[in-house]
Amino acid sequence: MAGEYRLARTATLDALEPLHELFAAVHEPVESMDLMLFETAVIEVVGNLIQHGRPPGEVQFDFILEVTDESLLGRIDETGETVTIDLNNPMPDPSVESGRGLPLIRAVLDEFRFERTRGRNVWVLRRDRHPVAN
Amino acid sequence: MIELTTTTEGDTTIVRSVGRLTMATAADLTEVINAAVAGGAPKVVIDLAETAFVDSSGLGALVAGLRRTRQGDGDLRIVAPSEQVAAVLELTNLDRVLYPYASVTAARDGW
Repeated sequence: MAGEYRLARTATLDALEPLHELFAAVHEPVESMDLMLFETAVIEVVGNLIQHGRPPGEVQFDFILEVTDESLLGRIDETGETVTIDLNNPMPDPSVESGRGLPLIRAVLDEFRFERTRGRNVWVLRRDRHPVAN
Repeated sequence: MIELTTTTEGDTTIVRSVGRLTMATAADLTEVINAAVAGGAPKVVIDLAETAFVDSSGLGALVAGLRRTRQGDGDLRIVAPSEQVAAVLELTNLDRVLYPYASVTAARDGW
């Protein structure tokens, strides 16, 4: 049992709704919390692109979600300029307004990495699946 | 998308949030909270029962709202977060400052 779902968009606010719809269309019986938290991570990565991608409003991205028996795998391949990003910043104090995106991504994934490949940025996301609750 | 419906009762504002609280909609919530404080009803209850999804921008709006209401001698309380919202609040440790109440009545108890 493996399914694949794809979406290609410009990284603007208009890309968020189709991403949510893509997750709503997943038909494999994935445990709901696994799918919701993986969706959370993907929305955060794309949100980061919308907010910080350069040139603003022009970054194109391709998203592939692969549902395997073991994992949810995501790959976001985008055209933004080279980024310097600290993937290890800690979760901010509850009184702080911003800075939760990356720590939240890390908290819900089993693997999160970034590569610069052939002039494109590639974000790789993996969450291992838990048994479907009856 | 999000739909925010506001009801005012004395110094309390009840906000029913339906949809997703994300980067696309967080500013709408901030606006509603600021208006509640400015309008003299700074005790804000946000009913999240029908808010299916929150991202870090939405969390930022809640944290900002908490500060804004407290500065205005009010407070901000959240009600009935959905599965994703509750999980994200916990993962970000925000459940320590945004305790989820079971109902609007429970949130208003003692105010």
